[in-house]
Amino acid sequence: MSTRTDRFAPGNRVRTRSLDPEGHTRLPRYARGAVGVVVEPAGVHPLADDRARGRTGDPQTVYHVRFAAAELFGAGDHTVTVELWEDYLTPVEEDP
Amino acid sequence: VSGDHSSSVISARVRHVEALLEQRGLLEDGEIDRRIDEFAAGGTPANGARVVARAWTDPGFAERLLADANAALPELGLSMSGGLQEQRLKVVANSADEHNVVVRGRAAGGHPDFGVGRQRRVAVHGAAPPSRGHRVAVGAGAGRAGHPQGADRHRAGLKAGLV
Repeated sequence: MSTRTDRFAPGNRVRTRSLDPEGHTRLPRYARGAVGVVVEPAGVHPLADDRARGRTGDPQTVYHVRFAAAELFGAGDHTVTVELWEDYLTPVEEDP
Repeated sequence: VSGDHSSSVISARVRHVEALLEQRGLLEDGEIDRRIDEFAAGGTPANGARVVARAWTDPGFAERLLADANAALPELGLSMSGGLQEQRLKVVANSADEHNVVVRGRAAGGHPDFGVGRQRRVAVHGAAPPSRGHRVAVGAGAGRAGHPQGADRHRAGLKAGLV
């Protein structure tokens, strides 16, 4: 059981998973493979993808992640904030 | 809760577990339905409206609400802990150059043209003049990992605050 909590801090840049999973996920298709910034942690919840498959689901941190709309849709000057489980996110290394 | 799912596999499993719990004296007859009804009765969009009205008239409360909504709610005799676990409530405020639109998770999961995009345009055009600095908050549904009624109340509160 790998319960990873608070792996990311506000301000961290993260990239969402680009995998197209079989079955349920709460990572919206339009937000796949996108780079955003962690706004804040938003509680600890069992991963919905696991629960939909009948597994218990390790509780892990959910984050508000903010994206530029242009990053997601190719247009727009607003931002989009999505609640995402830690499992969906990988760190983006800052350029040295 | 949302429609009739009496024939689904999960419903059959729930009925079976419920019957076993009742058989072993761990649950009274109808206890689950009663508890859900009690819980749902306390959750109404009027709660969200009260919170917003207080924030309009009490700048100190508005500040505390934006900083930590869960901690501020008890000032009005409300809480997010009526379910199996406390649900987090996040409150955001519109300003002259920032406008927030909350999009429900189900709509957000679809194609932007049919879900997020359309709802966003409708809501923004109908609500307020600012056209830049929109911040669209998409609830991917993390709150629903807890008790479903809690999540509904959570959304109702946000809607009341934003639209």
